[in-house]
Amino acid sequence: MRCSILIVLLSSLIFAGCASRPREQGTVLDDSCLLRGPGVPSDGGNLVAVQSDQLRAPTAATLIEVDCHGRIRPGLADVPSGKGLRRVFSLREGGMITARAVARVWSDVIASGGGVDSVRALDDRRLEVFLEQPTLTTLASPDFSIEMSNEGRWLVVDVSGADPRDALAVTDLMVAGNPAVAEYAAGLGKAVAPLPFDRTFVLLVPGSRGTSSLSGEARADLVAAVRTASARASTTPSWWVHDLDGCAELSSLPGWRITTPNRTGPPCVYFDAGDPVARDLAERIVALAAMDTMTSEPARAVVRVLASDGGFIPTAKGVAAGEMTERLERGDGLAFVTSVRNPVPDACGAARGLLRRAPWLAAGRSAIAGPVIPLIDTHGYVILANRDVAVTWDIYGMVRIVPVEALP
Amino acid sequence: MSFRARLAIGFLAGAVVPVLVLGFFVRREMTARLTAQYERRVEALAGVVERDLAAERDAIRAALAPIADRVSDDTRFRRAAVDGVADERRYLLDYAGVAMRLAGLSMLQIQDENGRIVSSGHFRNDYDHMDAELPRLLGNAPGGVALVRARTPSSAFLALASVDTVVIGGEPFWLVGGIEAESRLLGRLSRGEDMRVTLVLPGDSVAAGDAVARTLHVPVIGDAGMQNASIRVSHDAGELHALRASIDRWIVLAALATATVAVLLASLMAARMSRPIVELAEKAGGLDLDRLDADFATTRRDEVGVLARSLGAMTARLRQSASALRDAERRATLGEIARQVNHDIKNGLTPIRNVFRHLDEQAEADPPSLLRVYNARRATIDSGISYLETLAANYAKLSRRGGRPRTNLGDVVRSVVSGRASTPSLIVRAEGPDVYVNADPLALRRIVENLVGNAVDSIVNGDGRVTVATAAIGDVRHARVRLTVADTGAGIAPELLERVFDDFFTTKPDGNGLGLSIVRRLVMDLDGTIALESEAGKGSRFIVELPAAAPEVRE
Repeated sequence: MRCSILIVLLSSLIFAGCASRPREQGTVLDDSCLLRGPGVPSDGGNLVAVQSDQLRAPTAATLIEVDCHGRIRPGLADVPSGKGLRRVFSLREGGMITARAVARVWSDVIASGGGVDSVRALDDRRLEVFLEQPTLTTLASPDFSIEMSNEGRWLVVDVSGADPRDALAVTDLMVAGNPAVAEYAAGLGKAVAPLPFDRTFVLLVPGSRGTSSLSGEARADLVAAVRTASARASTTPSWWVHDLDGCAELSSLPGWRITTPNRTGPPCVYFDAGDPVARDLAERIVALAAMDTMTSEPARAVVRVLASDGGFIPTAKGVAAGEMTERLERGDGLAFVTSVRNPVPDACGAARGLLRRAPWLAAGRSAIAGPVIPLIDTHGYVILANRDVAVTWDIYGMVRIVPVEALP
Repeated sequence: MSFRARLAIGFLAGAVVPVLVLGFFVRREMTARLTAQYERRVEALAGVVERDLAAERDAIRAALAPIADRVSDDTRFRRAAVDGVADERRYLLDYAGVAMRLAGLSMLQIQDENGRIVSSGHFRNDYDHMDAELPRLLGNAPGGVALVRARTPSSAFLALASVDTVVIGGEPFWLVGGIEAESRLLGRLSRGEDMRVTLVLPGDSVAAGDAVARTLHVPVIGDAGMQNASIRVSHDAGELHALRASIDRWIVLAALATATVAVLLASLMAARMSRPIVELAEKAGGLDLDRLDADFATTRRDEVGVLARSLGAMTARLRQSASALRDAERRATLGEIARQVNHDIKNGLTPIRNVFRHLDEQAEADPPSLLRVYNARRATIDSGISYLETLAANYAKLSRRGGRPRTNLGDVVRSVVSGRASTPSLIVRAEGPDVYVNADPLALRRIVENLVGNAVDSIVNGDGRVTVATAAIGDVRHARVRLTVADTGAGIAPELLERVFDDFFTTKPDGNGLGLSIVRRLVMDLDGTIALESEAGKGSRFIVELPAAAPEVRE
């Protein structure tokens, strides 16, 4: 009896298998990365989207937009000509927002250290903006979005804690990171499209004097270890190795003075227990740290970055998000596996965010001096499940809803 | 050593020693039985553990066999592990984990012929790890099973593992699977809290205190190759020790309780037995010639009663002797007076006799001159008679002062009571018949007045009753007179009863403390006794008993 059950279960294992890369379905309308759903007409009720940090609020709009190839497109305003730190934006005709309203909304963001030095309304339609760095993409970030009228069409729901596949039947828009979900949706005939790589999992090593990067072979090894994300070996360079000298207020962060992280307890590689990708990576890292470095190049690479050739073998430990935040802030751990958005429209803002999470990274004035070791890049999938909706996305992996009425 | 201490020691010896002896034998018997019971249970458990261990070995092998069957047929596994198809890599990595959970194992790793882990169920990301020795050593282990140290991302655990082999595409693969040993296996093998199944690995220190019943040897594979570990079945000797200690504690507690009860009983009994003796001793110690009125009366029929009655009889004899002494003294005094009287009478009679001799001679010699001579000597006769009269009067006075007239005590009582004017709230009354005693009325009056005055003074707020009663008691041979002075006053506290007749003892602010002591002395002079009965708050009763005067003889 026991053997029979085992055989049946093993058979199911054989047929179930692990998720492979999902097939892309639905209609990708053009190279602007526009995806339209299965085409079931809307019944006039609320459309339902699953909450995700990759989904722009349906009511948010920015002065300019960036498409999936990184090209700057008009948003609330036309794309200004010229270069430099001073730009003058002209709001597009027909919009309900005024330049003074934009300046007022941005004032809080600028005061809290955004990527904009100052802003001024020249008149109702023209806006003068002084940037920290001469790139317009900063203004395409959600920080500089303007809240527009909702009109009550979209309802954003939180399904965290449940299997996203179970939510497919009742939602219209979902952004999923797990390829198994995308595969399942594609199998049901939903519109599925991969998003650009938008997130990099990194290894933060407090107090490390080792190398700040892994070999390509090691990163490829880590890609194989990840089950619940579509991943690739992380590519370089990333925004945190850019020169951040031009970022205002970066030097005033309290982390500048923190140079020696605290580390207590056994050598652990910590990760957020709720993040399955971080778990796979941390477990593979500690597995590699125990391997024979003479025969395994990935093992050699991991031992180098962890400086664990002193004889200790680390362990992986998943902790709650709160504890992870506290440990990361104190640098209390051998290493931390976490993720950062990459690429980002605003490198200065991202740097500030990273240094708030791990102040000990800021050991010098010119850049993030501590070891931020990229491991893998991941991307998500956008899934349009039921009714006729359309979305597009930018190079940063952010999904934006497009009114179907505006489509040709 | 006091009587009480001796009694306590006797009780202790009689009560505690049997308890200790009983405790000793109970303890010995219980220990023997418990030890035997433990040993039987441990033996039984050891047999069960041995069988369970064999069953676990079989179960591990039985779990590995179907995995080996299925993995050899699995095309995706073959493509990933043998053909190296990258797209199937994740399937390969997850294979052991799924199979391990489905088979109910705690560890499962699939290794290629070089020992490289291609899929690990307990540590999914431990692939590519080389562990060439493990399958080989497991294959050579006695019984085909051994304990191995399995690593997980966060820790390591000990597993009872076995190995199976499968050939896929001409390449051999090892399947190393097992169950977690320290908690899962040993937890299943443990039977009861007092029975312990522990795993002792090479280099482990053995905890002292447990009695090992059976040791089962199991090979363990570690960094040093294959060594011997042991599964020890033991029972918790500490439990037995604790039980013994508990029994000891209860025995000691029982002995202490018995000793306490024995000491208390001894003290109580000693107190009960020695109290009358002590009281007798105190009464006897208070005896002297002036205080021979101690009351040794008792109703006890035991030895103490005999002693009390003997002391009472002796005191009575002493009292009589003292009275006789006083009489003798009085008689001695009277003898002296008699001689003086004789002398004085002689002195008084001599001139008279001489006158009468002269008259007698004159009557014979010259009768006519007799009248003249008589007249001439008459003055001498008158003088002699006058002297004798004076002498008689003087001695009469002397006689009254030293004698004890027969006095009606009733008259004295009534006289005293009538002098005490009653009020509506304070009533002083006399009752009882006329009774006679040989006593100076003045002395009797002093006795009655003192007692009545004392009684009246004890009346609280002037509201009460004082009764003075006379009575004749005793038989004809020992006729006595009783005078009772009872009041409804404040009474006297028990601790003060013994002291009320002492000189200068008083409870009255203006008292001199001599009234009752004088009464006592006067009563003692009359060969009488005085006693006091009193109850605080309710009143007192003085009882005076005097020898009754002999009935008056009327001619």
